[in-house]
Amino acid sequence: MAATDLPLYHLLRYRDIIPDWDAFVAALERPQAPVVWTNTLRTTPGELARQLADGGIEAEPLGWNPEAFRLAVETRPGRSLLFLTGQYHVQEEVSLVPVVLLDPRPGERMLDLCAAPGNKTLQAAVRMANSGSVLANDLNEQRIGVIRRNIDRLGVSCVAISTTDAGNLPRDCGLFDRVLADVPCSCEGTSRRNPEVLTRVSAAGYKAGAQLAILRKALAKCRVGGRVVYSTCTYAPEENEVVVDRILREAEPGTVRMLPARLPGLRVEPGLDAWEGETFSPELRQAARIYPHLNNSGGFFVAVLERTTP
Amino acid sequence: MSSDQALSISSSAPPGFLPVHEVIEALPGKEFFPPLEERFGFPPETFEPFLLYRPNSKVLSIVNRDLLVPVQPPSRYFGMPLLHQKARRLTTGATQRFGRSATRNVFDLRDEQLEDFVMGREFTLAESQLAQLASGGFVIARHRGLVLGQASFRAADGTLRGLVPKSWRPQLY
Repeated sequence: MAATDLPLYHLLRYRDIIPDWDAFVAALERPQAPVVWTNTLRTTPGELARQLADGGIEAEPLGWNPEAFRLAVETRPGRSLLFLTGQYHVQEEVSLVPVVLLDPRPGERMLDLCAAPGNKTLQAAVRMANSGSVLANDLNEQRIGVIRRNIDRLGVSCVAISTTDAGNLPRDCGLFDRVLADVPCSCEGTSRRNPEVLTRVSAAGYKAGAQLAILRKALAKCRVGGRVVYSTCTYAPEENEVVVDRILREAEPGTVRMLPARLPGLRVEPGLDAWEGETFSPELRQAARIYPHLNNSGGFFVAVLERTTP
Repeated sequence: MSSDQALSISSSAPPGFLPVHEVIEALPGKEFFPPLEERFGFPPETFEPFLLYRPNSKVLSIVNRDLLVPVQPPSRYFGMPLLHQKARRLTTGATQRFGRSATRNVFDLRDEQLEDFVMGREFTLAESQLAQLASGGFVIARHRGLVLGQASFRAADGTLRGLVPKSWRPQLY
């Protein structure tokens, strides 16, 4: 599909909430540059930058994440000895945000509820210096193989994998320090890489029911004082603010609070406080809406929640 | 599991979790780790942090000894592959993870040998490379400080064949 044929009609519903609409549309029509992040179990960002330069690969560190590099649009990052030897991993810029906000530390217990293909699991395990305990869960058995291949390539030995419905995680599963709910969604924000996604999307396809169940379970499996990150790659408030707002309202007072989803150098818009006549908790403004024209990335939504003592 | 492993692992786990050694059937490391240490000159503590187990009929995997797994849901896979079971050869992933600390049977590829190595074609090593290898068998290949993977080395005629799996080859050639 040619970029100029983008079926933007579905996105027109966001015209009033997306700042600088023309820049947004222009960004959607530009090809997206690949981004790689340093496997710090194996090398350092400085060393990787040098190796990329030696290999004639143009690489610019991300302003908000100096361990990751934006490559030239035409670069094929999988075709390199640096990739073969696990010096870096390829991941869309904006999908690096949730784990940075989750901030898992070495030795902690971390749960990735919807893990496949494992990019965020690996990002967390590497940040945890290959220590502690990471549980990568995904319902889709077919996609477990991809997680395992990525684990093998990056050399990670602190991960266990389970294949359970994230919304129905058993009651006797223990509590984690950090829980990532990077939930299945309508994927509208990935249209720069997959323009076809906009031909399939419709409000009827929103997955708020499953998303609610998963976020509810994420909070149930997070220890007091621990952190939950909820993220999607869609602009749809029905899959973002509506879900988080519902969870905030149904929680016992004082047991959940939102933390600012902000990172120095990353441009974001605040979460919405209203949509189509529905108003949300003012806390939702701490969530982040990331539009493609803000950081030259894909589109994303992320909210950070903390389990607190009542 | 050997008694020394049991002693070194705390049996206490937070509620709802089990230490991984209670979930997997760990193999005695002394049967598998010392031959690797001997072959590649790895420091003796290299495999101390890990338990070894058999996830399927093809490989043996390692997992961090201190990994905690939830009581439920059941975990299906743990850690990463270490050895191809039949040949007892390090996997490519494990070679890349541990190969930097190898001091024996590790050699440096030349630029012009890279393609043959990655594509698994046999080629003859130069004298200076032969001097890096103690004996025939599985060896570790490096290039400009990067550990690429395993190779099968025939000492009798100084030939070598790279063992990078097809699925790992970066479509450079």
